[in-house]
Amino acid sequence: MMELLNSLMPNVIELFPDMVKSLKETLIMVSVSGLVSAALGIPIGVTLVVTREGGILENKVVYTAVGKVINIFRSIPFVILLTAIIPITRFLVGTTIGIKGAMVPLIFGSTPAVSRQIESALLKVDPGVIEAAKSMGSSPLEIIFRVILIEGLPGIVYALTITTVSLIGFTAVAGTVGGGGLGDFAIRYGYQYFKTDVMIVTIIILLLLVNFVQTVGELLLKKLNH
Amino acid sequence: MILLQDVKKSYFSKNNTVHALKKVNLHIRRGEIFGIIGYSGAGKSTLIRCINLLERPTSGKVFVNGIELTSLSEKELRKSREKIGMIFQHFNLMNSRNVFKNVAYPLRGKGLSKDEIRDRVFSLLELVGLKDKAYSYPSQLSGGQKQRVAIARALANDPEVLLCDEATSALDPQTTQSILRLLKDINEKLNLTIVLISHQMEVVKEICNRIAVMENGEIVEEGNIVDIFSNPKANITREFIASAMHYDKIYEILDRDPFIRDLSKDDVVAKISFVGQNTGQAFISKISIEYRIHASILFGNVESIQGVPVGNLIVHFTGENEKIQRAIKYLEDSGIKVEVIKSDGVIEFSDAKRNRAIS
Ligand SMILES: Nc1ncnc2c1ncn2[C@@H]1O[C@H](COP(=O)(O)OP(=O)(O)OP(=O)(O)O)[C@@H](O)[C@H]1O
Ligand SMILES: [Mg+2]
Repeated sequence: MMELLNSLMPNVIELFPDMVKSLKETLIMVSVSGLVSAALGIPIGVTLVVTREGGILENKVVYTAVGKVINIFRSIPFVILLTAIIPITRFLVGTTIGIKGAMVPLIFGSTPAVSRQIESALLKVDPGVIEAAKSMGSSPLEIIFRVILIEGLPGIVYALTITTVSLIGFTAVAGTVGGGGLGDFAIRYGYQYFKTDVMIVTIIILLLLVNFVQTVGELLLKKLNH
Repeated sequence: MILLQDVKKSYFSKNNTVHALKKVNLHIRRGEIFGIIGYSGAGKSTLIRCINLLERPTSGKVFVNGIELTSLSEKELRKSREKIGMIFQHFNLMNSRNVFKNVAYPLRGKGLSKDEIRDRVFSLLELVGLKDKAYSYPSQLSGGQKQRVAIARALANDPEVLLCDEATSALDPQTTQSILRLLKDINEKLNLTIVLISHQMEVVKEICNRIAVMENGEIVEEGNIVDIFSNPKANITREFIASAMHYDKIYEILDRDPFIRDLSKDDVVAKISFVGQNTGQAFISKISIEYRIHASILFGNVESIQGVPVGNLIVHFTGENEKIQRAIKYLEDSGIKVEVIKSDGVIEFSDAKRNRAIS
């Protein structure tokens, strides 16, 4: 068995410990930056929904300002963002390399996307239901926490599933700028040293990872949808 | 109970202004079921939403239960809204919560214990007849059941007023009837003041004591439902009554029936309308005997409005024309409205058609 594996993909076996380490790094990058950008993106998405015209806390200034900032970050391609915010990264985490250095641009790249996804998910909450809550005397805060976020939960789960999947892609890109993780691993060995088997196995792992996230998301959605 | 004073509401946009409400004055009494009827775009929803200030009037004052809502702060207003329930055309239930939790929604955060909330929710569900559906989700309910849940939810905080915006418009006729019966029921049981909006006269005539008719942002007619049915003033009111009483059918019959077209010279076809105790049928048999003419009913429609019969009959009189004329005079003297549709071999159809809507 071991021999068969050895002959099929010699480099994978040789680099196996390295690969496990890279996978761990990817998982850390995805989960930490995913959690942080969700923690930032959900409030921003809610802000966009409630301050827009006709929203429960309509505020043109806030809506326009937040929307503009998000659009600016969204229009910068991730690879450029990665290098453009190097000073900010250094200031925040003290380094620009390794998974620590990669996390900052990942969060900057992912948060605007999460915000917009959350915004569009929460906009689907029936305005009639919000109106009904208002008619029962609910305050704006109550409407946000007891109506919008609860009724919009399936949409939020869906949005986070999508953004996590794209975050996995982003980590691979971040890896190429010396960030660590599976992307870095694949480029280093698979691309630069022509170790094709390493490349293929990495792709399979990424594929499984994406599939796993997708499946968990869909299961959650199924549980939430009545 | 509810008082609107010179309430105006205009919507402003870049290129035009919509005057949805033009100086509306309205007084709705405690414990009554008040209907507001009008065509689409008349401003009914705007009006009802001005009562709980979901829509803030551009000018004017709104009083509910003696409190001027238009002068309250947002916080005080929210407190007042707890005493003004509202139900909607599309029910507006929360899909992620089951029936129990939907009804419990307005009860949370009011300092009630879990058991108290539970008891309250179940007594409300009992009232609307849905105790066995407490743990179903809205997606598992029919439209009528959803509206019952919405009614239970709206009643959770013991409101004094219930606002219903087209509450039955998404339901079939049977379900509409059962929801109307429920509303009537809670109106009596809880002495709840109900404001009901509809574009169907059939709905308001069923349970409303008084109604207002709206057109282009104005109330064009207001009064007791029986008075309005027996003596409508505005054209639009007549149109609504005509459709509720199926007058269109009368003319359909007249248009089609060859029997009416081939009347002899002396015959008269007339529409007789009556309200209240003057039940038309009794008079028909009376004049048949007294004036020795034949009076046969071609079409009849008698509606009971709040227990008062309001009817229209198309009657074909045969016999000597002079006797017929005397019989008609007698009917008119007895307070029955007679409109000759055809006499002396001349069909006054053009006239009839013109008056089609005007009762
Ligand atoms: N938010 C709004 N902005 C601009 N115009 C509005 C708004 N809401 C209502 N209107 C206008 O006000 C008028 C009255 O609308 P309203 O919804 O009160 O009518 P309605 O009688 O309830 O009609 P329907 O039977 O269709 O519900 C309409 O001309 C409508 O276009
Ligand atoms: Mg309406």
